[in-house]
Amino acid sequence: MTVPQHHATDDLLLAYVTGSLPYPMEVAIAAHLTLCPTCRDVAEDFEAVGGEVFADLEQPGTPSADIDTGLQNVLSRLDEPAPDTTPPPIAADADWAQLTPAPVRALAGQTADLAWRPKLPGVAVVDLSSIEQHGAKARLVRTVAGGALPKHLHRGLELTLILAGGLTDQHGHFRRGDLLVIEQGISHRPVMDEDEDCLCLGVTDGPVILTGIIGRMRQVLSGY
Amino acid sequence: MLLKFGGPGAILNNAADQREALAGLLIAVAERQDRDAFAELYRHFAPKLKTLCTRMGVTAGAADEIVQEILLTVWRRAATFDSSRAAVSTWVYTIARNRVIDHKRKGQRAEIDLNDPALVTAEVPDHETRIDAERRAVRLRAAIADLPPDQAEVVRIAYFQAKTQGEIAEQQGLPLGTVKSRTRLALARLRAALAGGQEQP
Repeated sequence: MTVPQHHATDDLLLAYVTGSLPYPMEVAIAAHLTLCPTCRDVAEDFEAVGGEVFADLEQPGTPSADIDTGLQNVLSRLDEPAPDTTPPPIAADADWAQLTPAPVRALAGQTADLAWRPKLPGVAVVDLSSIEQHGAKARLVRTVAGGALPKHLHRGLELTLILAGGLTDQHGHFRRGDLLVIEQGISHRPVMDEDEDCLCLGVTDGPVILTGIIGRMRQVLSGY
Repeated sequence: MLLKFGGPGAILNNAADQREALAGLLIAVAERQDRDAFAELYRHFAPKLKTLCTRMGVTAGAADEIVQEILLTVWRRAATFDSSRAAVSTWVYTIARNRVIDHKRKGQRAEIDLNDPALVTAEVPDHETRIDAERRAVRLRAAIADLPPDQAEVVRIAYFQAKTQGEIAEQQGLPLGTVKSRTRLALARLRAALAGGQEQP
């Protein structure tokens, strides 16, 4: 298995660890972490920092009677059966489970049977808008091998996690597991690898604006 | 080896001894469902967890119940604690963080599943090359104490208030770039301490 070469920034990993990312971005980072042992190490280090900052917390004098009340309450519940937290069994779609990390399957479903919607020539998407939070939206984007997305501009942060195939833009060449982080105000025109269709999880927290002449015409026509 | 914490008879001034004792209590819970050990853990962590919950924005009315749920989860999941991967404080922190996020969102947190068929592992599992997590944590604690105050402050706010850097900048009346650079400097130092390398001057 190859290890990703393009990583989440420390800013994003810290925000993931502290729980300050909107849910759709959290999904993209958790999915990248599933595929990237390098970033998992960094996230574990950041969790260790959280553990120490937590261990150092000053404790305002909680009356010991209050602690005892809580303790007695919990002791009385220790024998309760634990709620069943095991996830539902994965449908018999082992290929899909190999392809998409669990945080993505939690959103898109346990099988590859998705409601793809044609968006542009050679491009189909599945909107995962049910989880929109703080303006952040997630979608799966499938682009035909050798195809390209029209040049577009981001009015917010865009995270693109490559799940299959690959793409190239001015930031480099991105393959499975790589995370492409595009800051606000940057435009790019990703071109897909020739070997197979490209499947990406794309998360944005602002509108996407097509900037080329053709792109602008298409945007008007398709509502992209 | 059960040692008392926090009470009038507490004699554990040595941080490393206290860490080992906490890990021992958690392992006693995991291996023998030891209720006395659990009670010790409860007394140690409940006040800290209550502070954590309220700083992370849980109302005082809801905090007591959430603290109890977190510690009930500690009891139920004790067997999943792996002392080579995480210090006890880190393990409890992640359980607490997830519970608070669930509470605030009324929805799930996106988490890595280490049993995921899609999981990609490093060729050499990194924890085999790492020293014991509690010893790393002792070094980390010292490095946190050595941070310049302005860097320590942005780190504390990031963890406790679960705020974005933009929100921290606004709250502190600082330019966003200043918050970002302070945070990066702090995290680089702390990661260097974890790696056992030289800290940046």
